[in-house]
Amino acid sequence: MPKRKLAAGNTGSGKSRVAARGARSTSPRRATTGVRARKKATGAQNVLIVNMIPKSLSSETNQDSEPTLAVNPANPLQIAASAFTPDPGGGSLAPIYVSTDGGNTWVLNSIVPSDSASGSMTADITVAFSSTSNVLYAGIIRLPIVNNNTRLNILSTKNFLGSTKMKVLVNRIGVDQPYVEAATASSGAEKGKDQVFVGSNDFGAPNGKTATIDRSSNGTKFSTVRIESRTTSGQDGPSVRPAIHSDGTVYAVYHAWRTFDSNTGNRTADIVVVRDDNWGNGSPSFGALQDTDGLSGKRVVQNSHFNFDDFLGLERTGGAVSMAVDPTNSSVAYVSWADTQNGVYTVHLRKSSDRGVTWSANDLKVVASATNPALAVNNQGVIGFLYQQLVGTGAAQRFVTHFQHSDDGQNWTDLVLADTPANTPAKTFDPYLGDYAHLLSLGSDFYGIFSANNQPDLTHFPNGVTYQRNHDFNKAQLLDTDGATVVDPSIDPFFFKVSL
Amino acid sequence: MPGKTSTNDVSGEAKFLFKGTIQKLGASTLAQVPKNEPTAIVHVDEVLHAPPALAKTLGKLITVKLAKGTKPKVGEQVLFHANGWLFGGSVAVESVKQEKPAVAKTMLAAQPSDPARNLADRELHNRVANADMVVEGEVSSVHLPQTESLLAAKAVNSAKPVSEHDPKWREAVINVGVVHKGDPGTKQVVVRFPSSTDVQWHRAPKFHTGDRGVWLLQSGQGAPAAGAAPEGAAGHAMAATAIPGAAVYTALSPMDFQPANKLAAVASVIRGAVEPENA
Repeated sequence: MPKRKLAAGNTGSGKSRVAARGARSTSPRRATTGVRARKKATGAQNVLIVNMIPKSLSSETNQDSEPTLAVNPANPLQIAASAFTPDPGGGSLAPIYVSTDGGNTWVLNSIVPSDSASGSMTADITVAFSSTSNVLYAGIIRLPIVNNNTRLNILSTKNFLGSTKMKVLVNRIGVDQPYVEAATASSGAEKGKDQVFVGSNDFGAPNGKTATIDRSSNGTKFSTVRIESRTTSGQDGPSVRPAIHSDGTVYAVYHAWRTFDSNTGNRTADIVVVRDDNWGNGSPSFGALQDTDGLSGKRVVQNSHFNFDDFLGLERTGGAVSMAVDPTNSSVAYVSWADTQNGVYTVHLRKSSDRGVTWSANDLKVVASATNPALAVNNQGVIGFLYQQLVGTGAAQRFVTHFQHSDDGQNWTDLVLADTPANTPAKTFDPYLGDYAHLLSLGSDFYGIFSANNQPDLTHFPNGVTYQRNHDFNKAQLLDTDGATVVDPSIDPFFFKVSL
Repeated sequence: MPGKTSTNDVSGEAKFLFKGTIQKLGASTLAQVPKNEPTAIVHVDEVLHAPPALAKTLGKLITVKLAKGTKPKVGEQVLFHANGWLFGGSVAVESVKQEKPAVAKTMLAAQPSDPARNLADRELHNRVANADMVVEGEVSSVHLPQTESLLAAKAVNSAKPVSEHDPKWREAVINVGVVHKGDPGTKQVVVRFPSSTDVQWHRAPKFHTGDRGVWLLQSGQGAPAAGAAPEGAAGHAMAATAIPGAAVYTALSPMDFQPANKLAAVASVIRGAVEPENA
């Protein structure tokens, strides 16, 4: 994207009424070409984008990658978020990001079990609120390591602003990439109880069938469900993503590893969806969907190609997946995944309208050179689609973070949330931006989070942006807590909200 | 004044030691601080030791969640032993212990001026004290551990899990010049280190042939045994590949390797931590 000088001063409002700036309608497979879309899809929308690093941490240059977000449905002003951010106090707890004003301002609160000597952070973290109980749940890979193994903790807190450490609900060795979703049952036998689902890759599972969901029907005690039914290449992939509907339907998509070429590192995987129709209490749990081979789990795609050790620019890749269910109709679900197409890492999107039994034969979306797909559906049935695309070549490469939405899966409105340098700052660790970004809906609103280069240059944020940390939009510079010393750009988490 | 165990530091040691003056009780500089917390707005008069983010609060007003049972008065100057709590437009810290100013003056007289350096030195002192062995030397070679070598040679997909958090272990052989603590028993020690750049391992020092400095070594921590025990098995029998029969150590904290060109700045801290044990 060519840079342009803005007349704006130091007032890069993160809240904008969009249509003129960056909102584009697109047709399937033509994500970058403007096509006249239906009025409903292009109607004006409020967009709020906030750099989440608070003012008191204006000097920080951490690689705050791999973010997730949780909005409290009982009080949407309360929002929690996570990233690979160390405790600024250097203590034995890692921080979460907390907002009490709907995402406009943020504080860091260190309440996640960690270890000072290990950097006061986690090796993986996701967060989710239940629907009505005000309880925040987290799934983490806890540091320090134990006997050379990753260590799963599932956590909860009823007070995400307090200083009390989150309660450890599950502590298990040998588990990777926990991904938590939660809801409070509004009817049936589980009415009023928190239903928590944590997808993970559990290396302790027998026979290499490692795709796993830890589930709880009371927010306290968990049981382990193995959702892989087929032979694997020794294990499944790390991505296991639950998606919950308020009627008790719970889907999950996972990256089912099938073959491995040791000479090239190339692998194949099936993109598999499982379903349970009663909060995971089905018999067997998550066994409601069967494929043509008679086994549990519908294979949306078979023999998807990828390389677990590959990169998209500085960002490692390895087969991201995401899933969302329509809150207005639990029969409607969407799946997104990434694979390698002719050597190019590519994101795909498909839809099912019959509870996952069949899926659209063709992709609703195909986005080349993209990663970190994240999906959500709002209460109007509008699908939201977040991804980060690498564009350009060499030193001019940029990561462009898109949020697109559509009410029919065919005609899309595209908002560019950020268009930032892809090669600066230098990478501190993997993942550079994260193995995932996050999107969710509440009512008609979409809330999301992504990580990106934090240079305060308004041309990087065509829909506006708000910074809490000290900055100078005119000079496109970050400033230290003294308001004068220039701070180098780094990777920060950005919160966004799109109100349709 | 009584203290309590901090919820933000299970060791009970405060990261933020500062002298401050109470400005207002029951108030906060941050809207996000819960109203029912026993807080005070405090002016940070002097910082003794602190992580960099808290060292920057010198001269500013911050919020202190007071240590349980303490009742300082407005205008009173207090030495706070605290840990970070909330970082937002301002900062809130949680006091785990409060002392009278007279104690503060005594302690201040003995402290160098850089509070972040003071904290780093204190933590390095503790790390040395807890190390199994402290040696000075040079990396003579770097190897794949036996398990990794076998897998590479066979080019097979073993039972070893494939994860983005794979440490990708390597072994560095160190020619030991000086032993500051412990007894390696030989002129060489083997340090197993993760070469992975994953978030879980990026802070761990990576070693290359020719690296010189001081290593703070731990035995039986993190790294698996070479050859036999599958990863994840508890109670590793630590055996080296690079030097058959030798014990394997790890140095996983950034503090565990002090390169030669920075030794001058930390030599006194290391000596101070080692000498009491060697005396």
